Amino acid sequence: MKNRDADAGVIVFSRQEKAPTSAPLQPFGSKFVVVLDKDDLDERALRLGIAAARCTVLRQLSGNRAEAVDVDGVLSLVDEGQRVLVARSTVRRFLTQAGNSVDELVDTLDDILRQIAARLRSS
Amino acid sequence: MTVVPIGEPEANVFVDGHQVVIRNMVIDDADLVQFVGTADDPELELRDITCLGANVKRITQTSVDVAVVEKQFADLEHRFDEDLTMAVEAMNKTADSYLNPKTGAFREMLDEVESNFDAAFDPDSKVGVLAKFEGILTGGHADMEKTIRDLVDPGSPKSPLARFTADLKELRDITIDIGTKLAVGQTEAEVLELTAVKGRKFEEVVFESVAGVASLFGDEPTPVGDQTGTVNKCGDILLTVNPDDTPGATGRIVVEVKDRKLSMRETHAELERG
Repeated sequence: MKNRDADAGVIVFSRQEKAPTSAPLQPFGSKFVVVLDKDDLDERALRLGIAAARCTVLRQLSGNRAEAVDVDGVLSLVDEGQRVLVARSTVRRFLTQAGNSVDELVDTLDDILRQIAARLRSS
Repeated sequence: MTVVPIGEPEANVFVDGHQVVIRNMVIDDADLVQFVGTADDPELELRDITCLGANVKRITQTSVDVAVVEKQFADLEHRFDEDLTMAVEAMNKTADSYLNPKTGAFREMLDEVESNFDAAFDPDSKVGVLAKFEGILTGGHADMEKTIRDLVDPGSPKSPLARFTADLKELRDITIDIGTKLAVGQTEAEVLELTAVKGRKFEEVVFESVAGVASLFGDEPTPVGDQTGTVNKCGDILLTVNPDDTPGATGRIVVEVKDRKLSMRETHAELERG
């Protein structure tokens, strides 16, 4: 922020495990830590992070003219969006786990059915 | 009736309707010879023995068939029972991993979602956020004073002196980093390979995304990774907020792109520097 004389900063990590946070978007005042997974490229966290950073810039610049822009309203939406992103990544993680387990179960049942069919043929 | 030995004529056995006709057959079975030889009516005796043999053979064959089939079914039933047990166990195990009220995946998912929603509606958190906004609004004057004081305070991170010190430290870090890369023979091609996303650099992908958001607000994104800022080349993308939204002032957001792991402290330091 200092080098570019910026009012807010967004750091974008290519994977969640490379970021020091556990959520796709984590604000720290005028700094925002965002994850844009380079295999998934879901831009929502980045878009929300940029929008939030923009709001904090407007907040800083507007000073007492804050009434000119409904920054509170926007930041509130950003806050809500951030929580939705966290919930989404949680649900997605569990759905992935559930999907993998179901696949394993189907494979197991397929194996059993194949074995039964083979034995019926040989009987 | 007297039994008269006959020579060895050609046997002739055939079925005539519901009857079996046997002609000129020689059988040298000792038992048969004894039974027929001692019978009052050898023809009747032979007929009885033949019919009895047929019955025995039929019954025996049937029993063998039944035994074989029964055994096969028993084996099949046993194997099917084993397979079914395995399937049920697998299903129970999987179901338990999902549905166990204490340790199941759904329980865990519900707990986490519940926790997120609790946090979302935590009144204290809301107050904290609002209070922060209010502080920013009303604290403008105090902030201005502090800013001026910081400019002449050598201990303040915003003062020119502190900035110069930090810049020296950063220069040293960069030098060490370059030295390390040269030492391990890290080529540009290898770096590109590590940071590439389907043939493109990750920075380019991020820039496209940032540009997409910027266009919604009329902001101007600029890739500045190769341009020196006030001190160095830190900061990859500079987003200038639409001047219509910032009358009389310039709002800037710096975007730093990272394809490597950083600690929280390093992350904040990167953003501060950028």
